[in-house]
Amino acid sequence: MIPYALGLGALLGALTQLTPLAFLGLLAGLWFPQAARWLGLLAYLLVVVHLGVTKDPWALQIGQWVRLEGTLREGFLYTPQGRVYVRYFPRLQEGRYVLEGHLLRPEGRRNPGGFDQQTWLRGLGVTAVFQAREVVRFEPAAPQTRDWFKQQLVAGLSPSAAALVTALTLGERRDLGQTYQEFQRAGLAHALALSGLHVAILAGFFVLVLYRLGHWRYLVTLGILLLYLLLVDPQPSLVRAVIMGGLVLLGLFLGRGRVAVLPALCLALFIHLTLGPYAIFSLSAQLSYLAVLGIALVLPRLPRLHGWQSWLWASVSVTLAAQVFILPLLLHHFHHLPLVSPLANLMVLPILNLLIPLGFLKLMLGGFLAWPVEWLSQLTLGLVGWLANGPQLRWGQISGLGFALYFLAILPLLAAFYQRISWTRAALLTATAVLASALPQTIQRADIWQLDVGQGDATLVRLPGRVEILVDGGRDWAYTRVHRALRALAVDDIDLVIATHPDADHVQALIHILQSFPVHTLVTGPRVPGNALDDALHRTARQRGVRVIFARAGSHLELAGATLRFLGPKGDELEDNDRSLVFILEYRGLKALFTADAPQAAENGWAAEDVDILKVGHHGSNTSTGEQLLQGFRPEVAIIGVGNNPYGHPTREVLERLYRHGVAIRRTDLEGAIRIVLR
Amino acid sequence: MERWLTAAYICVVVAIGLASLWPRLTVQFTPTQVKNTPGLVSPSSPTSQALQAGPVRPTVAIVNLNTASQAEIESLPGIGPVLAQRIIEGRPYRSLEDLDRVKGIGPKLLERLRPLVGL
Repeated sequence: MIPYALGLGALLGALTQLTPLAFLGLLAGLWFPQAARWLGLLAYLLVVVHLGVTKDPWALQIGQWVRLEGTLREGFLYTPQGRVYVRYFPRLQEGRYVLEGHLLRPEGRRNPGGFDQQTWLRGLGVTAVFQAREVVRFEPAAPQTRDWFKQQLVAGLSPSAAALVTALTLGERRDLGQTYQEFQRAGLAHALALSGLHVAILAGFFVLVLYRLGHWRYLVTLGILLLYLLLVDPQPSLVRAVIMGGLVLLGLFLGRGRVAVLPALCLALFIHLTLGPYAIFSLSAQLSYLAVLGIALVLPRLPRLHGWQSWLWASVSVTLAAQVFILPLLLHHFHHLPLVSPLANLMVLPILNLLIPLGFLKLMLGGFLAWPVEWLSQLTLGLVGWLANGPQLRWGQISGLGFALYFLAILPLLAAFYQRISWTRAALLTATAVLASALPQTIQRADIWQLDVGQGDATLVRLPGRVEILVDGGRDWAYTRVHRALRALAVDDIDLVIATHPDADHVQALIHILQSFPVHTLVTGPRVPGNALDDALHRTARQRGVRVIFARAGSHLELAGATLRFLGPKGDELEDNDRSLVFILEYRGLKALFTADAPQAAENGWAAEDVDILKVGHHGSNTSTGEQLLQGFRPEVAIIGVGNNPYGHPTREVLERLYRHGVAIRRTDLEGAIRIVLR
Repeated sequence: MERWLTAAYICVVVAIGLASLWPRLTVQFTPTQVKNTPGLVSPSSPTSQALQAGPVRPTVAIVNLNTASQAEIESLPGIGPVLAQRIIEGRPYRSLEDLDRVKGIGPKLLERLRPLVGL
């Protein structure tokens, strides 16, 4: 019981970072025997004290202009004061630096499904971002052992094979590019994270080779594992695996036999969290621990088969057992689950089981092993590329309640597996949880999302019945943000895309959207002859078989209970902004006015009516949102899509006009993505 | 009897689950009808931050015009290498208004810089 108590204590201690209420979990200790109780409490206190004495090394310098000296590796600057994440354009090569710039706090999530720098860095124990402005001094890094190993590894390989083998043996995924997404779509991304697979192969190999050393070989192997941890980037999943492997090796060295998986996992959690309590925020650690927990709890209880089936079943059941606890995490963070995952693991893992030890050998032997490694890499890449086209289960982000319901649903099944309750009762209990989670889907709300795409516009309108309207998409570089937001909001097809006018900050990303999402209808203004963006948009729409509607003042569209009435353009305008599609979206008596970049001259020509929401024109520029518009349309809320820009948008004049008319102002540069529910 | 009830119950739940999954697995469009003819959020008092003109920037320490390095001055909005060089050449400054005499800094830019610089 002692390992469990230690693991639980450390986990609760680390959870105090989220909520001080975590100490209530200590009540679970009442189920433990006396000795274990005290050790669990000790583990809890160890972690809490660790958290208490760790000071944020940058706390006093946030917002200051600073000069930092240190070594840059993998995007982080290692200084005597601590580690900091460096932002600089273009990307700096690795080496020793003296840099000047501002020290800032990391940014949180700005869009649904967007990259959460704050949580990512928190999981690594990094608290500050260094916005470097000037490189004062730079010396290229002296070649290190690591570089020598890397050269040995890639000698004689083609670039694609070299990238794969570097990722598999040293954990550097930077050169993989598109291949990484293919691994994700095939359900094999876990193979690219250094983890138990690597540790088992390394340890097994050395234990076999060093058999002459007697029981000392276990200790030597442990040393080699620690050296490996120093050689590569210590990803949390690898730290977990090395601790567990180390415990097994220690057990063997002391002649106590093999440590069971579950106690080893708990001990590893205890050691890991005592060393770095922040690891609890790392997705890599969460996935790694929960996957092993699933394997440890479920696998031994699964039925066994005989003969040739047993080999197939062994592989498939490990994949399934590992996913029992991480399924909601995978769906929440990656928004898709490859349905071919068991098949992919069955086919590709045996090859990787050959490729990884060959990679380790190649670290020592260099070009000697190039041919088999190259051949196996190409085979893997080919298979993964093919499997990546398999069907996916799409899912949006999951709420905290959703996670709770999921774990409530599998808990009775686990209890039945362990014969604590009958299968009938377990099925009933699970079914209630499933039913409860399906309930929210019966109530669907309409809402408007103004996404944060920097200086630009992207607005998503969701209507009940999974009907979606996307108005503009922002610039080229904002496409990833829009894509991730759409996936997180569970949008997998778009019924109506409206391209207001062919300016880069409105339609550039739409071209990529048309390519990667199924779109039913595209609405644009009259064609603009000779405009490259307009041509590209219409060409893409034609290639993808998207119906195109040309709208102008007086056009009228209806879908899913919503109407779109177009106020402009008239069709004879010459300037790009004058050509903006302007429309009122009406849903259940609520009206939203979308004005794109239309100038005041155009505004004055629109027939006035009361609206509720105004999407402020031209990012808050003084050329739009005139007095007459505000008097005529009397909006209650104004949404401004604006980001870092040299024009001073939104301008003081527009903000003051809105304020004088009593309009509530919502800005994407302040809040990130904005959601307004249409009730 | 109990067994049958349980089985029926589970069947219903599975069916509901599958039904709720179905739209996620398929692409379904709602047709748009073309007819060509030629309570919401309560208006809260906008915070002072929402009324601040120009895009929001991370809050950083005030730039000292008399001591800051070239790179630090360049980090100000609307100031490039040339203007930063001129600001350094125009030292020392006794008041912010002195910035006005630097060639290339007009009243408009001065207003934007005012909250960001000091002496």
